[in-house]
Amino acid sequence: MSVDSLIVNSAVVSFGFYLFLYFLFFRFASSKKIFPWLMGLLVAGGVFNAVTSFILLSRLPGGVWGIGEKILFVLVAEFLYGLAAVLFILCFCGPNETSVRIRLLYEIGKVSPQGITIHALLMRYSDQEILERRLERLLASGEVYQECGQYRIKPVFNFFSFRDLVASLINHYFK
Amino acid sequence: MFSLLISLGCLFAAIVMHLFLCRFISHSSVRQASFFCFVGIFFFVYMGADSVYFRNMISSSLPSFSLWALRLFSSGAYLYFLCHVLYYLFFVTADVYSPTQRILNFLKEQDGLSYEELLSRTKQANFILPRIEDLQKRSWIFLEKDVCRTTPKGNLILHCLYWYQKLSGRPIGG
Repeated sequence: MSVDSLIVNSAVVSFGFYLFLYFLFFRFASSKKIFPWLMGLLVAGGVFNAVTSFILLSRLPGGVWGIGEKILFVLVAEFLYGLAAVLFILCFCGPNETSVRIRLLYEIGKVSPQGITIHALLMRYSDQEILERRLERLLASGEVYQECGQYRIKPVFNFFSFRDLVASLINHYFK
Repeated sequence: MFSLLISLGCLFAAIVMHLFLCRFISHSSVRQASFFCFVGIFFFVYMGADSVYFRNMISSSLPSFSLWALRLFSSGAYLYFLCHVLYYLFFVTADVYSPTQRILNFLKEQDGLSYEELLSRTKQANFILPRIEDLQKRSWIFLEKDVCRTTPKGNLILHCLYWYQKLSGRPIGG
């Protein structure tokens, strides 16, 4: 087996392990603590990936790859696994937890086939609920804090700060 | 490793090309432009450059179809497409459409907003009605005499959602 396919195999198997953990344990996460749970499961899958890829690479014929190269391969496998897991979160977990479109579709689907008027739909899912759910999550994650009835942004550096940094650079140079 | 390096180079080229195109196209075409840039760069640059590596390494022992399949499923191609979807979801979609990002932007524009002020801005931003229109454009729902109903395509998505919820045990959010 070539190193290339070994890296992909290790990442795919670890992603399968991550999915197994996700479907088994994520049901116990409260809506306020989604992000720490997602990170915990992601790290667990990452540890599994590191161990698996290192064991597989150790079984390659000796003398071909040095320890530095093997560590580099493990890092590539980790990167591929991380991308697959983040994509799963963005494509499946994210829409189910936060998407306005999916929630609207769900509300319309609940009264299928007779349908629902737009007015009745807005009674079931309103701007108020959209705001309250997001404020709840932002307060729980510590990105926003409340002081004397005012909501303010707390300067914290996390995973999303990196996204904001890149987005601001893109906006600065290309828009 | 060569294929991974090519894919990272192509990825950079595709992102720069997409961002450059975004200056000249309308807001609604941003998504399609992203798709065309990434697929175009993949077939014309990635496959071309990668063929040098495969021709030298293993091509002599494999029939051409297997070679193409192997190249499509190599770690470089996998990395390229994962990074594209990540770029699309994380920067194109989230930056332009996410309500959470918009609420954070309200707070960035003015430090310290009360709940009522935030609610008023959220209502002005009008998150729901454009999304109902978008659901119609995607043919997930149809509107008949002010009554919304799901289409077969919408029902299929609801079916997938049902199985996801059943497997994960998570209720719908929003």
